[in-house]
Amino acid sequence: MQTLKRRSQVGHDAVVARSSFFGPRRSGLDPAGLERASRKVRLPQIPASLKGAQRRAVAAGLEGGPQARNARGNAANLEHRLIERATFGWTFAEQQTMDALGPEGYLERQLDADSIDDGGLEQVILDALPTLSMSPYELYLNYELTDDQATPIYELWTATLFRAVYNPRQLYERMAHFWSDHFSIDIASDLAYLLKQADDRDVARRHALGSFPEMLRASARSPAMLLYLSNASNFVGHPNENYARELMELHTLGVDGGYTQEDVREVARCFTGWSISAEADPTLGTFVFYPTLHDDGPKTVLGQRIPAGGGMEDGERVLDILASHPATARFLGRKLLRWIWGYEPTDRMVEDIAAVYLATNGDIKSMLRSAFKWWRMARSTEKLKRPFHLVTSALRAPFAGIQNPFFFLSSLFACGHLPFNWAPPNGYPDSEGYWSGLVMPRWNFAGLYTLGDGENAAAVVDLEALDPQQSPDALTDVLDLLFTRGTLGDSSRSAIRDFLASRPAGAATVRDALGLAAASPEFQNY
Amino acid sequence: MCHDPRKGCRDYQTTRRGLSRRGFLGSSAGLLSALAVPSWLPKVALAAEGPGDRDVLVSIFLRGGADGLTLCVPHAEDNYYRLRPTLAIPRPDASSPDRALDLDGRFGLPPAMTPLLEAFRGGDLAIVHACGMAASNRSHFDSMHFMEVGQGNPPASLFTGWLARHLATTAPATEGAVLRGLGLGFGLPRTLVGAPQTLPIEDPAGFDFLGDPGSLADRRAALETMYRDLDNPLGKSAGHTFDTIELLKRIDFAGYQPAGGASYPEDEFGEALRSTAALIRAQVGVEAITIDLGGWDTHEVQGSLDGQLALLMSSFARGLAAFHQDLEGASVSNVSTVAMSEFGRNVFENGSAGTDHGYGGILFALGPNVQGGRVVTDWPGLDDDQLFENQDVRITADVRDVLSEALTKRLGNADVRNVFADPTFTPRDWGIFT
Repeated sequence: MQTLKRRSQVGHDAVVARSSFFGPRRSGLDPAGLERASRKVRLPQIPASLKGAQRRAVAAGLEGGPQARNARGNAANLEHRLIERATFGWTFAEQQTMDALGPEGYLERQLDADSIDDGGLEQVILDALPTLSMSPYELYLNYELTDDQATPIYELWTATLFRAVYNPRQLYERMAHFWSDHFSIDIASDLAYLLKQADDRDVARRHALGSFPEMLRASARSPAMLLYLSNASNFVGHPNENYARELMELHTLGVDGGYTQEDVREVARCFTGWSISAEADPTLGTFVFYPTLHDDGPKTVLGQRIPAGGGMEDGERVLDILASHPATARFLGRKLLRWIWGYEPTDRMVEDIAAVYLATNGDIKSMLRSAFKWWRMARSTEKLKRPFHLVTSALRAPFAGIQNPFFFLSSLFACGHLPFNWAPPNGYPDSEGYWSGLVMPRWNFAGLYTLGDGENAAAVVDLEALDPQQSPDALTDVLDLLFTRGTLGDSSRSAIRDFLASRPAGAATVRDALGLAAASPEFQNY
Repeated sequence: MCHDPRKGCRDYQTTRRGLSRRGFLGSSAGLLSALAVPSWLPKVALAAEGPGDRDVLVSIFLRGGADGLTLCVPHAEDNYYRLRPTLAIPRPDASSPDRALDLDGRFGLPPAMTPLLEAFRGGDLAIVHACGMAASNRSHFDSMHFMEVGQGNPPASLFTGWLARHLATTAPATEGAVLRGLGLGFGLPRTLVGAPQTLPIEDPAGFDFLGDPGSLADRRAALETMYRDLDNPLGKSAGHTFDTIELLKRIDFAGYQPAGGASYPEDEFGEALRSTAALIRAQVGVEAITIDLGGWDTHEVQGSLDGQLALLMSSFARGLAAFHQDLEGASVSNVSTVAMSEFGRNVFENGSAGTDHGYGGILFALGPNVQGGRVVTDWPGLDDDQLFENQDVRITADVRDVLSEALTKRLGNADVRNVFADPTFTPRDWGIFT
């Protein structure tokens, strides 16, 4: 076991000493290890209250029958779209809430996430997946020393999937996902597999609907981030500008935000000494500021003087400057609008949300209200679901119970969209151009996820609710309602109907037809 | 554990993205084995005889900013040893066994790149030094964007890739080809965005429908009905996907036998090149293939001789050498390969035994139609007053010089201004391709 003993020692020897512990190394993402983990990790049991509510909503929704198809007026479409953008997939239960509260009420309820009863889901997840609550040191003792890097990763992925699919606090989950990309860390890098848990808890999930400046501060102290972007070894006289650059380019100002190479160097100096503990004790992998490794000279960042002797305040000061910068407001605003509204927000929308950001000191709920308020203008275009979103929405539509997370994770691998596994620090792209070429892995996911029953099935689907003995026409209506709110086009409807008519009636055919609905072009968008 | 990067290291394939497709999906398929479609379809390995008129271009992107000063060592420069006190590769005459392999009295290959020495000495490998895009700005994402679009600070309206525009402005090399371009990876790289008949395919050997074999034909028919008339990017991809399934079924990737005694490393890059060779030798009309190799962003503990960078260089060199040997052994003379990176790295090593983002970098051109055996460069020097912004290698060769030459001389592009329309750019002919 390596530890870094001589903290006061500045320079290359210190770096080499610590890097033998926190240096690049093999990761835990070996398939055999993940497969072993998949057989060992406990499956969270979805609370009965959640399951019951969703199943009742499905039954009630289907009872409405084909007349729901006729309710395709403009207002209803806008409400559908709002649900789609606020969630990981429209469901009848979400629609019931929308019908009861109206669009404003629906949005406010989702924004006030804590007021939504999660039916005990989070506790169930935490109970089943103990690594989520462990400190880096506990993870180190339990997994690094036993050479099992796969289990913590597998548990975090499983939790991420369960939360996205089943947590009724859907907008919160969508935003946690957004911020995980914004402050992207590759779990396959270095020792991220035992630091990302804390980052997930303390950065994206803690502040998803809170204050952006606070989230930024949390990220800057996140050991996973400090290691991933090399700030953990950014010391006086031996600067490393990796974090400084990405902090401005990716986390705050944006590449056109007006900073220079000189600013990058100065910001790097401000963050010298922001590091992590490499001691083999309970502080392991936690944030540490080393005053003796900090560059205490005066600095100038974006034209603002930072006087000598500030110590750790230097970095805090930089975060304040960046968080309150108009370029940050615009950069974040545009990105959030792309996430919520559509690929091409107008300048007017960006200016509006940027003004909200500056007026509220980066209050995320206020920004979301700004992003959502353009709904009534209805000019937004459809977005292509990224693969993770396709997977979650395909599970949510029939409210299927995940039984084998490994299948869903391997599907996401085939689509190139495993959570926290994008190697560069800019996060998975949110663009149609990047994802639209990947049709085959989408079809293969859809073609498999409803198959099988008993223990071999990837997910448990309640086929009885769909009444599999119905006529092909009636079943097509059911699938259309369940997956696409009655918006399937003629080609897709006839394709599903003809498939049902040409295959032997029964469960196997209905399972395939569910897959076809999930593979339909209409279901790929949201 | 692996200690000798030159011998290659199977551990390494799990260090970056960590997952091999075969392993992960293989294990998953086991859980659904009853449902998975076996490879029951007959496969035919097509003969690969005779070169076509135009070269196939393999474009490799070394993502992360590869350190040109390590990949091709300026060992005649005292400055290099001053600027890189702990990271420099020792001179060819050093007493250490870990030393540069001299190429031309000025430059050398690091030990990890030894496998490429043969291609260099055989005249099939040219290394272009101090190469890049003048507009690059030390941002990975900007610099990659400029290089892949083929223009510095392009307007938003110019979002297609340079290789895409080449394909879009030249007639197919093979009439009726269903797959002209292929990105070997998950999403389509910018280089190929906008290309006709082009798809991203992570694993060409496994590109087929899964699910219940009994219902496969009917499910497929349903999907064809659903996507047939879809007029959007997804619909376009779907059309190419159906055609490509048939195309790729005709190639026996699993049973592919490299020629010339070549042996591909069993890592992601080696697998990608192996699939590339199989595709090219099957002569199905593919004209352009892109491959990404990431991990070059070596801010910390670079390990030029025995660490992460050495392992990565070894993977790169062994893969390329096998590819070259394979095609040479099969007498395939119509393939050109280029490998580039978004920027080089800072000439000064940083405080973490690594290097930060820089400017001028490196490009490799490989193939029988390359006038190689040379380090092609107007070397700008590493004196203080010769550096770009006091910290980086200057750029004296535009990446587009080399690409223009390849497109014009080898890929039958009649007017490269259709590809690089930047009015400020006039390609220089470095005589890299015949």
